[in-house]
Amino acid sequence: MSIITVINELSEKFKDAILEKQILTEKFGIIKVDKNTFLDVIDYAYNALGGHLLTMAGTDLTPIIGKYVLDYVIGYLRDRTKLIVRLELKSNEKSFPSAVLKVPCLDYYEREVMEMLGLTPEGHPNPKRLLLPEDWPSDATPLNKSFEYNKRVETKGETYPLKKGAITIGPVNPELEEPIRLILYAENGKIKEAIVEQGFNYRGIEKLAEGKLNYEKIHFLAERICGICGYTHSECYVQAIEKIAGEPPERAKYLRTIMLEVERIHSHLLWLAIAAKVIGYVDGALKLLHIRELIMDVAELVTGSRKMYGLMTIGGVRRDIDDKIKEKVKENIKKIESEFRSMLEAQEFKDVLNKLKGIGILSKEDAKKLSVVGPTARASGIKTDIRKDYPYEAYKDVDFEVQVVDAEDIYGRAIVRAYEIFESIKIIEQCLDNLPEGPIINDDIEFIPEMKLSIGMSEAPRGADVHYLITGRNNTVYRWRVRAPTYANIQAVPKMLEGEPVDNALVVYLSIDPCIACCERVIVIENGKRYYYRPKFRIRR
Amino acid sequence: MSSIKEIIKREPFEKFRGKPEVDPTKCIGCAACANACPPQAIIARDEDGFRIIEFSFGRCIFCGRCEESCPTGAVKLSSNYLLATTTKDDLKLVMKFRLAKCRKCGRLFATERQIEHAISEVEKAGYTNIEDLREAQYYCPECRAKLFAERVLLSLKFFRGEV
Repeated sequence: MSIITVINELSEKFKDAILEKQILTEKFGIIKVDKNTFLDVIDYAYNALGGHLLTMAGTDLTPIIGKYVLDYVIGYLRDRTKLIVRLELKSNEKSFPSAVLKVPCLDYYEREVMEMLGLTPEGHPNPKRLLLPEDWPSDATPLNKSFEYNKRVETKGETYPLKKGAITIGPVNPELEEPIRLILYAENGKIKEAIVEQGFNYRGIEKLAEGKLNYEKIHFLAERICGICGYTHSECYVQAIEKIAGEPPERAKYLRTIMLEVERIHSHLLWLAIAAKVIGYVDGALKLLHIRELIMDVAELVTGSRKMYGLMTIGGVRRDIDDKIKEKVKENIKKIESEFRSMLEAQEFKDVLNKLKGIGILSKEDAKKLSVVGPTARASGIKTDIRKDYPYEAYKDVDFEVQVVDAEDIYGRAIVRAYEIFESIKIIEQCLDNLPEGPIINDDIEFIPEMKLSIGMSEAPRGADVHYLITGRNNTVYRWRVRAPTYANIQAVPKMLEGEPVDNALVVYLSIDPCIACCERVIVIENGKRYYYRPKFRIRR
Repeated sequence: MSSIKEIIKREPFEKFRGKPEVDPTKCIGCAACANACPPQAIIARDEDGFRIIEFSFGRCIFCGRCEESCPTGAVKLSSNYLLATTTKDDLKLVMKFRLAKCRKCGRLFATERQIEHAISEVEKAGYTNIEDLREAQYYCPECRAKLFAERVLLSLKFFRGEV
């Protein structure tokens, strides 16, 4: 089934409400929707047709067409298609209808549009700031094109008061790797209401890319979004550019696939180690970290660096591998497989994992409603994996299975991750065996076309990573929207925490493998000075 | 007291990307690395008849783009990864190159070394009419184009018998 059937179905049902239809490829189309009937269309496209939200991006196109454009990207797993529901607002319209009550996972996206573009979501139940500080002036909207990328803003120092009886964890806590704040309201030791507050680290990476860099440099910036899954981000960005500029050669695709899987193995092992540490199984944590060193050696061998591989470039990869490296990689991977398998089969480890049963429950319906991604979704029984659903790089040629468990709890999330490591090992072995000969870079790509929309997607260790991209003039990027997997998963945390004992809060929160750096897209550096948009008192409070 | 290097015994592996080492005798000041550098750790600017190229290793992300883009092989990523220092200036390298004037319009258009490099490249390619080509390198691109156009016109006139 192609995108045409979906669009036809929608246009039959809503007739005049759909202003314009645009079919870009067989699997990708855009419909422009009238503002008044927008809510019905998105409700039908998401709930009735069984879609899941990939990303939502608001773009300030006022300098070009005099309009704001809000793109809701919905994916349909069964036929592997993507549909953009587009809402256009004139430059003097400052509000748009909020669809949170129909599509609950839009909560964060709409709040981000609100603070970044200055458009109010009408009817949003909780229109609070998401990433910017609470005392940020409301007329300063950073992602408007009239806002200079290095502008500094005066803040006042006001904060939202908390309700009485709140238990807060974070933003600075030894068990949390990154700054985030859990606000819990408990009754008889059980959590009644949970709020996740973030934005302690926001430094506007997208604005920097749009304002200062050309397209050849952004994949290095994208790699620095996250310290764990950075390569996936650069893969997503490069994929989006290559979809409109030109394909890489086959050998490059295989080498990229190998590194993506190397990253997945090291990320999953790190998560297992951290989870083990938090529940007090420090022995196992150290053992897992020891196994992880072997995969870090593989990364060193292939790319020349433990993290921040710097391997990616538009149109290919920057380093090739020879037979010597191949042998060493194979040897290390075999070692990881045997050591990790013996650890999984040990009674001690099984006992520890069994303790996690029945904690942090996220039912299948809730997971579907919230468009949860990655191992978190697969542990709730949803078979979703970008590698299978929207195959990219060499994944269409390799044979692997998607690990799905119906456990709905932390135990499931741990098991899914543990068994995915073996699948990754399988993929790396296949890629090494079938590595095609030839060049590693496509030198034909020099210029990218203007004002083209493209979406790059890949399966990060934590789930679906989606980059929405519009190219600009003179080889720049006009809009770059990063939807990290944690951005989707973290919206499910309050649901998971409901009814849990307060003691379990941290483990439940960590079970989605949160990566706040991804969510908040950090770092702005200009001429040697760092600009922190978030005032310091916020952390002291 | 033993230095940090003695305490940390771990040797970097093959192909490791560490601090970029610059050979100032090889550098021609073309600023290709400054164009390629993603975090702007290399900055090039023209000042008072000199081109200044400034490396700030503190901002380097060790991607190796400078090494790839260098036409003379002056920049190489070394295996040195211990950049900790008590003085910030240790992480800076400033190089100055004298700029050459165009013989016709007098504009400062390239460094003297760039011109030398261009001439040596021409010689390597084995052109016979070297003196002519050598002279052409001392003109800025616009003047060079004009000069060439004038010559073509002259030869056209010659063939038509107008001269």
